[in-house]
Amino acid sequence: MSLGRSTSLDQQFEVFGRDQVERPLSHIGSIVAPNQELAVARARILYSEREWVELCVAPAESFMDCLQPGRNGVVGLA
Amino acid sequence: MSYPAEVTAALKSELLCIADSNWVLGHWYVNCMLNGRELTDFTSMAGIAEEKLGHARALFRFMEEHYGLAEHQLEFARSAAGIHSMALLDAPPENWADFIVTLHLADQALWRFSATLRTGDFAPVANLITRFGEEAYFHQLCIDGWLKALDDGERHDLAAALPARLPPVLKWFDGPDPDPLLEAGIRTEPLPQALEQLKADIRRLIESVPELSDEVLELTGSPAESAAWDAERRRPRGSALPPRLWESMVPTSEEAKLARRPLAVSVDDNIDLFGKVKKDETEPQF
Repeated sequence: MSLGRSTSLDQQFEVFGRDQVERPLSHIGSIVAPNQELAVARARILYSEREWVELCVAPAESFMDCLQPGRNGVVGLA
Repeated sequence: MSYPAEVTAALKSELLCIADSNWVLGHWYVNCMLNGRELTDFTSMAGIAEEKLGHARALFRFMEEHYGLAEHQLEFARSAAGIHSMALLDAPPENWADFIVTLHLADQALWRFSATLRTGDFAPVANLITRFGEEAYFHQLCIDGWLKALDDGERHDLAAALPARLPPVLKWFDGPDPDPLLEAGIRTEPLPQALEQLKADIRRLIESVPELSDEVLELTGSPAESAAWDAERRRPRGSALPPRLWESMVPTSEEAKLARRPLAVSVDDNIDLFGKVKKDETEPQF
């Protein structure tokens, strides 16, 4: 029986969590999933080491570059 | 709150149907987990298994406390012929698509069935079911994601597996009429209504898989008739869990027994969940 495998649909998602209402969202890790449903479910299951008041997931490709350390020239001004 | 004896007996049966189905479903994940090809699938299955087994054990502990049963006997002192799990889960999965579609059917059915007790008068059960629902939401989301990621070949496997998996899950909703739990206010939604919601869930699944024909859709209209149905266990009368599945749940090998955490009470004590054997009141009590 063959179960679960990487597919060409796999994409990276970034996971953010807040453990108290007054605290800001923090980046807590990344996960790979072929669709949004699996990304949300896997984030909830994988990052369950504490009780989050908020946990959210965003596709890594939806982030826009602002500053990047690898860029030539002065960081942020290239 | 105290209920008449027939309501208490019916509630015990229904709680065991929910607990045992969660118990078996948790072991489906445990048994298939090591076949995972991807770390995230492995961790998802482990996480869901932990929560399904947690739901089963929460109900076992509640029943032991509430009904004064000896500790751990529901888990370790019953036989394979006394388990109330849904018969849908007796046959092992034949491939990945069969595994996923069976999880989908079992999880949806379990939730639709459990949710009928969620807003009932019996607060301890209603609260437990509400908590189970919060976790089951993510289990179903994970299964939906797995279904969505099936490739063409796997969707054909799903189409081949579904006709055999559908009838037992629909039959699981066959219960006593009139329903004592509904009349007592412990259940607030009639089971036929919950079954209709399950059928609507299944229709959505069928419509999302082009390989599935209308013939399968018709199956959702009429559960298979079974001559001998045990309404208490919601299984064919006299049926027992298959030996391999049962062995994975409560291993009987010497090594497993040696490694098992000691129990406070001997599992050799007989438990009589439904009061069928009248206790001899003249017997000395210690």
